[in-house]
Amino acid sequence: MTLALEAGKQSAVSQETSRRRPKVTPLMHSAIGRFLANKQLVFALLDGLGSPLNVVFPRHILDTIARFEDVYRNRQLQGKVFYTSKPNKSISLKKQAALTKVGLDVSSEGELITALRSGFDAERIEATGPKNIDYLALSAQQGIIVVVDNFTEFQQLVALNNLTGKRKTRILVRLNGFDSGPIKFTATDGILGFSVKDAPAVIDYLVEHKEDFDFLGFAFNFYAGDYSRRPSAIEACLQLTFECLRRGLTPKALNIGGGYVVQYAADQNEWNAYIEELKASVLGSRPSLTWNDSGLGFRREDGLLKGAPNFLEHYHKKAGHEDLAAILDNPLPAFDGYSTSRILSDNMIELYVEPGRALVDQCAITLSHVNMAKDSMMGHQLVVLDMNRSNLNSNQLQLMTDPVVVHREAPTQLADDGVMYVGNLCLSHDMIQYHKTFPDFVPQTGDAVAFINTAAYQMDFSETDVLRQRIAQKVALVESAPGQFRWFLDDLYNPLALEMKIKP
Amino acid sequence: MIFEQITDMIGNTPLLKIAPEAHGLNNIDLYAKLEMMNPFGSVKDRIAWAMVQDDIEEIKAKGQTIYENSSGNTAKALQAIANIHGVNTKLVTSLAKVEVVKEIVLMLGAEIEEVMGGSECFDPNDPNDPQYLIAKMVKDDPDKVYFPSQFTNPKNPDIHYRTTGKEIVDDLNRVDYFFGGLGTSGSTLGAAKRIREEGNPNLVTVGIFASKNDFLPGVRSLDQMWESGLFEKDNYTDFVHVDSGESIDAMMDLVRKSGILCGPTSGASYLGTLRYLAKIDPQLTERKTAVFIVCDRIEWYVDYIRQRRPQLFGQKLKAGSLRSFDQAIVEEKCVVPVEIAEDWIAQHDPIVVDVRGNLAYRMSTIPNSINIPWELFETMIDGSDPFPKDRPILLVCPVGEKTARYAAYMQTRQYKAFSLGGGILAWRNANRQLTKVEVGAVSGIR
Repeated sequence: MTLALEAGKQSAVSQETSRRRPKVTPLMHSAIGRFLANKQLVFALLDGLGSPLNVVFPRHILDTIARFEDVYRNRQLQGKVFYTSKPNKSISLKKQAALTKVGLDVSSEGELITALRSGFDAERIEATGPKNIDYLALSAQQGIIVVVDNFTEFQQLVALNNLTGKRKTRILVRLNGFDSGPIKFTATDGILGFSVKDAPAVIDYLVEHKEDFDFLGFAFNFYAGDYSRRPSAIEACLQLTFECLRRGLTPKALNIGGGYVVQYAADQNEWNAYIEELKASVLGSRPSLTWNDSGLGFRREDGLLKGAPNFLEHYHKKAGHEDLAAILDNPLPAFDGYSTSRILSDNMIELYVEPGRALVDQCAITLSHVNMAKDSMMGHQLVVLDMNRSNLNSNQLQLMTDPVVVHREAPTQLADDGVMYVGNLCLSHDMIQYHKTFPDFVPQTGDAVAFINTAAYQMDFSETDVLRQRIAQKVALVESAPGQFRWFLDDLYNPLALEMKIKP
Repeated sequence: MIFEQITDMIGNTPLLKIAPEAHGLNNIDLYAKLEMMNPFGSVKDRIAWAMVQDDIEEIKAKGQTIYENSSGNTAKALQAIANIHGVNTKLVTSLAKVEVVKEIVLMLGAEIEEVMGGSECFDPNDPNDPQYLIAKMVKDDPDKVYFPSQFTNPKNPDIHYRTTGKEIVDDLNRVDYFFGGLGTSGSTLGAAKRIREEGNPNLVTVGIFASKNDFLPGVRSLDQMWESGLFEKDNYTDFVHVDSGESIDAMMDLVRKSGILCGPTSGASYLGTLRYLAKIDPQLTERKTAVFIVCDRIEWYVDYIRQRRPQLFGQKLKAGSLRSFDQAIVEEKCVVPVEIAEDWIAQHDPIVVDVRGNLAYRMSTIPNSINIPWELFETMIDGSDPFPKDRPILLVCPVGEKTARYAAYMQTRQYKAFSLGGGILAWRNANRQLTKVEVGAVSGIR
């Protein structure tokens, strides 16, 4: 106890500095660290393939898949982990994932075509999301699992199968709007799925159309961190599953969707300190940390802090597979306190999960050239990157970790008051990050800046050729021995050929 | 001691001197202000009553409902008081994290509304803040809603000024150091003010914080404090951060060495107190007095404690028991492969024991099996000899892992026990016969 206190006092000076210049070091896979330390390769790729550049590490997905599968194994659970296609457009990641046992969750016709092209067979693909007739028809014709969202889709599927004479379509039924039991939630409306109130009508329909559908079970999906609605949703879906069994249907799975949190920040104390300083800055007790003092969702009202952040929590004690494990081990009051995993395993019900963010954790970074360093009108240090906000941000959610700066030459200009990264659009609001970060030195023309862990909803989710600026190339990197990298254009990466030692 | 009303029992809590052998300080007398002795069990009893005391008759007459931003001790005390006066309460809160406290509040009859929100919220424009939501409800229907607002109500620090602080000064005259966990910050604000005025103008007040991602019941992190309208940073000489795991260790110290059956937040205050004072103690030339607040009781934190310090609940494994069995399992000796299982059953007439949960057993099981869920099974087999030793036993679980171990163990005790290879899943996949034990409604299914 005393030791910790003394250490605390001794580092008081450095703590003062770290409060003035708070950092959020990104959590980073060691291989990404080794790549960024290889300046020659970093600049060869960025200079040769252009800025911005998304660098994908396809083999890292094998680690996250294995960790999720361990959660199943440790609980004697059957079923499937579905890799979610939508967080990025990388082909190499899908090809790599296709060589494992995971399924693939697609949400458009284009994604379905890409999935088939990446080596996934129809047996393990499921189609989610709102569906136009082309998407629905291709799904039915390929015999993939359709996650039915509404009665129109039901009717269209029946009509499609009558026309094509196809076998039964495998379906899941997506539910939403669950009752939360004695704990009330402020109502949040939803777009996707059937209302759980319509479940009896859905079951009647399924019984009536037994010959048209191979009904696999119910599905739902919540955002990351939505811990308190999940248990009641799981309970409701399980109860409906048993109801279906009694009605003579043969559901065999429960799909609890995704929403497993990702840890972006390396250090809890750093993350907490940054947020404390951000809030203090909104209240005016320290120099601002945000562009035009916009507060990232926080505001000052009658001397008090109000609002909610427009970024995700970046530090979690239990992230990814551990988050799933905690959800599965949570006792369900409606089932005598048995856990979800126990009810599923006991009743031979398979578990489907769709980890979007969590499965591509540490699978990509985004690199950019620095065009120049300059001052803003009010004297803030700007660093102008050769990328724009469509190359990084999505869902209005900010990536809060500090980018890693790779200097081409030995840097000289200290970045004492921090820097803000802005983009290459001729628009006054093209901010790459709306908050200040504090690198040791100001990045200069020709330097490289790397945003870490951008594979999910960041690197290419909302990219456009706005103002005819470049769209980022994707390059797949494979580490053959520590520090030894081979690179491929993302869609030319072929893990099977590599395995077979066939020279491309 | 006779009281007319339970609210008369709020306050005048004891001040317990912690034995020097327990805290290890040489020059400081350390006292625990036992707020856990309040009738509803926490320091929040004082503010709950103080905030509604003057208005409760009017609240009742107007048929108003009390809304508050809490699902913890404040909620509990408010609900207890509201019950006595025949008033309804509705508690609006961000996600409650101590299930048992929430359950007690529900049991007492409160309605709880949880708001999603906080930093995981996807819509930055969503005003999902309990304080904001209640304020809006008050605005929408001022006649029906009464909002005490513990985070902004000046009656919160004021009651601690008038009672908690006064009691401490009356008992000790002079106090040099004062420690408390920071939630609304009302207790440390009000009590410290009184102690400074009447006991010692140079009082050192230290606030105890939780690390942000590390939840301590009723305590906030420094950045969350900006959201409390009462928080005054200048009121404190210093702050100490503590971690929930080590707070439980400190709590257990209070429990075991001093007999104070308090909760983890009190442990956090004790830990912060000792951390701060251990540094000062050796340099002191005169005796000093310190007080920390024991804010509530241990009972409702059992699950919380178990999550963080499971070893406190670990029972010693009995030698020779199933739970301590760790020998290698020889498949050929103890597993009946599913391919031959039907013939094997016909030939040996075993007792078939399905160790899955009862719900699963009733939905679908192997014909003529009995059901002993594995939690019960493990207890039975470790505590007794529940089966004949001359008749074969076939054990069935979901995938055959658990029962293979059971069978191997039972064979060491001379049972003719075997496991169904691959469990009921393999049985079903091989299209063997399954029966429903009960047709119709199954309990647990609504």
